[in-house]
Amino acid sequence: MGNEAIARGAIEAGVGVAAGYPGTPSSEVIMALSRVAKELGIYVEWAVNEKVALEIALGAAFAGIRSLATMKAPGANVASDSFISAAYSGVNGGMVILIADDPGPHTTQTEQDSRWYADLAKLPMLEPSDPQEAKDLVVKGYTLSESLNLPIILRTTTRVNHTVGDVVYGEIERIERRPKFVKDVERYVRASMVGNLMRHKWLNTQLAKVEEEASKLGLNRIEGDGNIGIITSGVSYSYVVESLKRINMDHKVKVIKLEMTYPLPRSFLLKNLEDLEKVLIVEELDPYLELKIRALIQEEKLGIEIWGKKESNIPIEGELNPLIVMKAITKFLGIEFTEPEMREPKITITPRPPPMCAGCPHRFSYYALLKAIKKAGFKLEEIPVMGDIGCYALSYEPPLEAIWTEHAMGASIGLALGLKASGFDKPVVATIGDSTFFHAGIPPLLEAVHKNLDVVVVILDNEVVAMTGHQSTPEWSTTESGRRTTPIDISSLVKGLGVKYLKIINPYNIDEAIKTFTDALKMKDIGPRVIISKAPCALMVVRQGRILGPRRIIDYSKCRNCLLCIVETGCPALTTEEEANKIRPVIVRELCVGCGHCEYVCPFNAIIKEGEKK
Amino acid sequence: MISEFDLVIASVGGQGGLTLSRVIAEAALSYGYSVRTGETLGMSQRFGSVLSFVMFGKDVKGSLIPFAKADVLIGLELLEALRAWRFIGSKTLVLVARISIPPVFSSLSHIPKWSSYKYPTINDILTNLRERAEKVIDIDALPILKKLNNVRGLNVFMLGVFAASPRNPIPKSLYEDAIRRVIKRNTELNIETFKTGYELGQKLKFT
Repeated sequence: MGNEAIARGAIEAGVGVAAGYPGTPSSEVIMALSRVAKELGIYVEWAVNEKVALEIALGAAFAGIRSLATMKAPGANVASDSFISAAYSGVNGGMVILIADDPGPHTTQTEQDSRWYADLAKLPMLEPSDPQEAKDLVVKGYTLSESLNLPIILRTTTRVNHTVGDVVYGEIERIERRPKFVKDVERYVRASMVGNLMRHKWLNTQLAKVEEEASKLGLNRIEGDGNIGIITSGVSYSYVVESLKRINMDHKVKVIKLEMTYPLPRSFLLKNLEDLEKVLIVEELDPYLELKIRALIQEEKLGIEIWGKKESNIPIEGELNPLIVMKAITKFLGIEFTEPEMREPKITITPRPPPMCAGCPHRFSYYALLKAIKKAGFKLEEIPVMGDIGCYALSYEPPLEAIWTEHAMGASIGLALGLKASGFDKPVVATIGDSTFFHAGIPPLLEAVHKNLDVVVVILDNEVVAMTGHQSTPEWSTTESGRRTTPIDISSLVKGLGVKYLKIINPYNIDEAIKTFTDALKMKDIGPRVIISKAPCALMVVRQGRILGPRRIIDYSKCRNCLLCIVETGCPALTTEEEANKIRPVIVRELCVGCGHCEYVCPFNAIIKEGEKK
Repeated sequence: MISEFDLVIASVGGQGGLTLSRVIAEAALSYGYSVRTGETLGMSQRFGSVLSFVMFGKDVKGSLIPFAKADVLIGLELLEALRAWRFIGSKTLVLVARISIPPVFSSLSHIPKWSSYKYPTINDILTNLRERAEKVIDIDALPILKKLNNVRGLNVFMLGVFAASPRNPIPKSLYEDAIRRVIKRNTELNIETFKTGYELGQKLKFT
């Protein structure tokens, strides 16, 4: 997998410190490194958020230790404050910042094109096309980073991170360095404006050297020949190569493959553009390379015909695929291409988004919350329930259709505060997961306490970062790499923030949960009311070989086919079947984990525990 | 050695589609092919749609299979096989388990508000697959798997069926080795399940 290749690259380069925050498609890098951290004697940990991860990696790099920070694109936004300043201080040990974008998008709130961060921060950027290059560019990235004293951005996309392919290993470099940090106020203290101006000039001097250093490492290359060219980078390169092969043009077109996309390798491009009559730029998302290459060609008066997004019909949104690229290339080359016939099926294909799992504690929390809203005398459509980033955002799906917003890490609380600040006169509920709360929920809760803003905050504590594959949170006493830690107790933390009303509930105790939520919704003028709904992720429990309780079965002599068990819960362990011309519910035994939610909602006592007498 | 073989696996999260793509990739690699696999997923939840791609051949560079170009589609669930229709072309062999797992949305479709989420009939799904593919073979796998006491072995069972088809470019024994390397739980039962699929495949007409 691309991410495992990135981890391997870091190991080969002798990385000493690696930190990240889970986020698809970046998570497997730290996961892979965690497995060998002890053996290699390196520090590999999830940090509380991406900014902290970046600062841990940066501090290590200040001290001369090679370091890695990993994050998905929105995480780069969180970390950006620190890595933009990092360009001014520079590093001593090599530092690579992995930013994993998600064109599609497959699992991300936006399709942000993080390549612009390289320009904003003025940090060199490398873009691999496949797992092998991902590994190789990490290794070269460390060399480049140390020759320039600058952190390097490794920008990937889902198709690189999650593609599995054969990778040829290199030697593992054993670096014996002791951390050493020398006081240098002008370099590391951003308080001196004169110093900052000096460091900006220093940064620009370093950037001027990047291309020469990059060429020593053999970054950027040419394939094929001819007076027609295609410039590409990242995963788009693989689509270009495949397309050219399919139309037998792979040696007749000059493919300019950029591995370093910031700063734009001007001399390399000028040398290779001079014989060209026309050039096509194939890139995913924004016309990032296109704008710069157009400027370069105009500045140097090269008179080359440029085919960018508009001329080639390559979209600026969504993921590229072989068909889009094939159409663009054949149009550019003037070759006839018959599109495969794509007849849509005549029947509707029912959507199958991932639902909350069978037995998921979040389902219980939202179920109780929605019941409580009604019990407190409100209509569901008048009480905003703000959602946050995590599995529980799947509560937007039918049948619960619970959350009204899912915006950014921690934003449930901030947005709820905004509604109250604007004078919204009904209760507002913010729902946020444990890891998301640690990551970015603490400052807005502090804000709520300080400004006495009247919101209900539900912390959905399932004791793990579930959505990205069960990573550790600050509540754990041992992390994946085997480090013994001091577990952080959320309730003490919340109390410490000055919250006056705090309740801890077990969501599986539905009546208690409904009562607690109802009380909180009815209260007024005491600032934020916090309810911690605490129960471990059901999938974690199942993976440990346990279930939540006795499996449930249906006593069809009592069942009246009302289907409330399905409509009220949306549990994936329940399905329907036709029996005597009637639709009746069925519990799929191997999927049921014995949470008992269906038993609770059944008005006819038709759902009973397995082994219980009918 | 073939220049490129493109295989798509359509499944529901939790059915073992990803494991299957790993097994095939391992087998292809051990035969000396260069291999790429990719998938659309990212969340740890089960029950969502999962589409996996396995590409192998002399020198495979792509990360995605072009539309309508799959050589073989292995469907572990009927609706998911049809969801992958874009990859099915006139040269595609479709091997699909005759298994339907209605999504949660379909279970809700008896309520008027969600009536558009009905699960299509098996016949409608197969008809739509047949209209696109060169050949569609649907396999009633569940009774056989139940007899083997290995309902979770659907992935290796379907692999066995594929291994017996004339299109399969990898020796059968390499799949068995790959199963042993990738699947650590109930390994021997899974080998037996694979062999049962192979035996069934030998009796099928693939063209």
